[in-house]
Amino acid sequence: MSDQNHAPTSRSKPPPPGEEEAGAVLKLGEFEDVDTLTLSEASLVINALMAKRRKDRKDRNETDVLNKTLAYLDSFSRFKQKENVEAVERLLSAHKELTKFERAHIGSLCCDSADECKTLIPSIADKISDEDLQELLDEMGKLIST
Amino acid sequence: MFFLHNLERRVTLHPSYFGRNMHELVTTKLVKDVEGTCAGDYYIIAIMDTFDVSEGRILPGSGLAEFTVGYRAVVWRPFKGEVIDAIVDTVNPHGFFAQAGPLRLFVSSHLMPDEIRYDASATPAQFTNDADIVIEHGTHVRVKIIGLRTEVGEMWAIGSINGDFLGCLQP
Repeated sequence: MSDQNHAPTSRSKPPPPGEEEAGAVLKLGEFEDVDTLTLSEASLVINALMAKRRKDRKDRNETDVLNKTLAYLDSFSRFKQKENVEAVERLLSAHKELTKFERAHIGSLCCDSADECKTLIPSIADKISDEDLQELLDEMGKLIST
Repeated sequence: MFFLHNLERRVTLHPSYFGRNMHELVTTKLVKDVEGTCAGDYYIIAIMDTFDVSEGRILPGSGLAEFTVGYRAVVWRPFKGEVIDAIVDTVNPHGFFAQAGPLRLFVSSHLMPDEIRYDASATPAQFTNDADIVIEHGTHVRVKIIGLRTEVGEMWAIGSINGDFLGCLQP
């Protein structure tokens, strides 16, 4: 009896809510180092998952949230082909000075100019030069399929 | 922002299901319970796979077996200050509602540039600056999230289009 593992008698304080924001300084709370997905990548992943479930004849569990998300991704994902999505992923991962969140954000918004990108994502303002960013956006622009 | 997050959950299994395929049943129950829900700050869109199903522990008194399951899921978490695209849903004199996936956003007329005004006479009702910008049902807009509110199972957001590069998107 005495060597039983007792549950801890105190709980650590949960992180205060409402502090997370993606402003000039990124405070992502529990999502700090979690892998991110651009809209196009998320679209690929979810569609592949649904196709696999269909193939295995399992219930696809089409919830309301899932259907709304798929419709949203269909409208807004810029890169439709798998090869293009992978190419964009390679382009973005080359920039190690940006965090995963920032890279995915750039991949999802697909801005035309470096100025636009830096205005919409203020946290990258100091991390990358305008020329490098413009080069990245131009390369991505070539891969957009209509 | 979409994330591939590792999460953990306790799933219980009734004794009538003990036998072969227990792990599959646990996974199925997990998927049914968790997919499509809003867990406080984020929406769990789809569960990819389970990578760690613990040994089942019988709960004293009820006979149910409890498994602690680690799984990977596609999760959507909107952040304050994040810029996202949305589709306009309904328009009223105080602002418009837009839908970004499972999230409902409200953009108040105070958080729009001064030149964009509500036009009740147009059919359908719309916000316009009487030149090239028209915001009505079905318009794609780029919105910056100003505030988020979460309640059990649901989230709401307030957005703004008052800023450079925000507002109507060219389709």
